[in-house]
Amino acid sequence: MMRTALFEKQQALNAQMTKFAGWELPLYYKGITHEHDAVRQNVGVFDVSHMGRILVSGKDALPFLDFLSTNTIVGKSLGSVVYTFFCNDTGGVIDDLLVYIVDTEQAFVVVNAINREVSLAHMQQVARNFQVQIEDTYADESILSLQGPSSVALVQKLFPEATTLHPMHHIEKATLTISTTGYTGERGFEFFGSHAAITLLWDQLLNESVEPCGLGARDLLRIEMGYPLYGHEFDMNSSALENLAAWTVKLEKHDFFGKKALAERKSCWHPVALLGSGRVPAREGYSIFKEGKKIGRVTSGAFSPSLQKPLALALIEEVVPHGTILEIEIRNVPHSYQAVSLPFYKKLSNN
Amino acid sequence: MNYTETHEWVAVKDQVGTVGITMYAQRELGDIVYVELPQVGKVLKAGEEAVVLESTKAAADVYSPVSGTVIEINTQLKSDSGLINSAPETEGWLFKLRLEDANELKKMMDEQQYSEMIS
Repeated sequence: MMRTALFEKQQALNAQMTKFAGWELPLYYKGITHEHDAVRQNVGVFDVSHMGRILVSGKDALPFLDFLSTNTIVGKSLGSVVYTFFCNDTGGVIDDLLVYIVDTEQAFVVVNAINREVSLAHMQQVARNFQVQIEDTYADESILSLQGPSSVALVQKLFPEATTLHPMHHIEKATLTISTTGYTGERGFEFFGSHAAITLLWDQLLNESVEPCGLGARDLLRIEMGYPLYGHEFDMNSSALENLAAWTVKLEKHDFFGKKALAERKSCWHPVALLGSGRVPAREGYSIFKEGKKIGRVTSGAFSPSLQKPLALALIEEVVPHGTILEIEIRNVPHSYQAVSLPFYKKLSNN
Repeated sequence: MNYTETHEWVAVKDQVGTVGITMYAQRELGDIVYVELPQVGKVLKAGEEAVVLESTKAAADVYSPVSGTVIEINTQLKSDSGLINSAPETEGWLFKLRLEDANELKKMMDEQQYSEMIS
C-alpha cells in the first residue's frame, strides 16, 4: 500500500482510511455528508497525490499528445487544459485524463492512479515514433484539490494571479503549478508541487479553516455532476463513444490512436442519468428494467445530500427521452427512477 | 451487552433483546441515509440477515445476534437515520426481539473481548 506525503497529518486529523488503486487514502475525516456540504457551501481540500503527473517534452510534445488523445490538442492555446481519453487499438478506453499545455514543446498529463502503469506504458510505446521525452513525476510530487465557492476568495488572498484564470487553464509559479480544474462542479483550483511545497500549502489551507475532505465526498460530488469514473462508466473494454463523456471524442480529427477501430465499432450502450423518487440508493451492477424487460445496469449510484434523493448513472441498450420512468431492481424490488439531464446538481446561480 | 464478530450488539432484559450496531461499525459505514428494518412478528435465527443499512457509500447487512421474534422496531429511524451514526449503542437501536434461547448469549463476546477484537 502506498501512502501520500500527507499520510501522517491525515492520521493526526483522525481520518478514516480506505484502500484505493494501491494507495491508503482518507475516505473521510468528519463524515462524507459533512465534507460534501463543506465543498458545496464553503471550501474543502482533497489530497489527490495518488494521481501524479507525467511530463512530456520535446519538439513533438503536442503532436504526440494529439495522436494519443481522442480530443484535439494541437491548436489549443498555451496554458489551457483539455479533457480527453486515450484509446487502445480496439477503441476501448485506456484512461480518461487531463492534458495541460505549457508551451509548444512542453506539456503534462494527469492520469488515474488505477491505470498509471498501463497509461505510461502506452505513452512510452507510442513515443517511439515521436521526438519526445516522458517523465513520470508522481514519486516526487504531491497534488491538492481546493474546491468550493469560497475557494476564490481564499486563492485571491494567497495566489492572486491565479484568480484571473478562466476555467480549465493553468499557470506555473516558482514552486507550484496552479490550475482551474476540479471534479466537483464547484469553483476550484488544483495545486501541483514538491512534497515539501504541497505539505506547506496543506498546513496553510487548514490554518485558513479549509475543511479536509476524503474520497467518499469526492465520489458523491462527482456523481451529482454526472462526471464519470474509470472502471465504472467505462473501462478498456468499453467503446470510447458509449458513455456520457463521449463528447471528448473528435472523430473528425485527422487521426488518433484507436480511431479506425472506434469508428468501425457497433454502438450498443447508451448512457443515462437516473433520479430516484424514494430514498433507496441503487448501486453499481444493479439491473435496470423498462416495462418489465432488462435493458441495462447501473454504473455508479449514490444518495445525494444536495438533492436528498438517490442518483444513478447507467448504461442501457436504447436511447430514452428525459422524463422516461425506468425501474432499478434493488434487493429484488423494483424502484422507479426517472431519466433526467445532467448535471443532477444545478447551482441556482452561476458565480 | 454482548457483541458479535460482525459488530452487532444485543442488550437483554427479561428475555427481550435490543439489537444495534456498534460505534466501530457506524464509523466504518459512514453516514446512514436509509434503513430497512424487519417486520414486527418476523422470526429470526442467530446470524440471519435482519436489517439493511444504506450509507452514502454502500449497502450493508446487519445480522441478528440471537434467535427470536421481532416485537418492536425503532420507527424514529425512518425520519432520522443519522441516529445510527450519532448514537449507535443507545437511541440508534434497530429492533427488539423476544429471545428464543438465552444460552445463545454465552457464545457471544463481552465488552472486553469485543474491544480487543477491534483494536
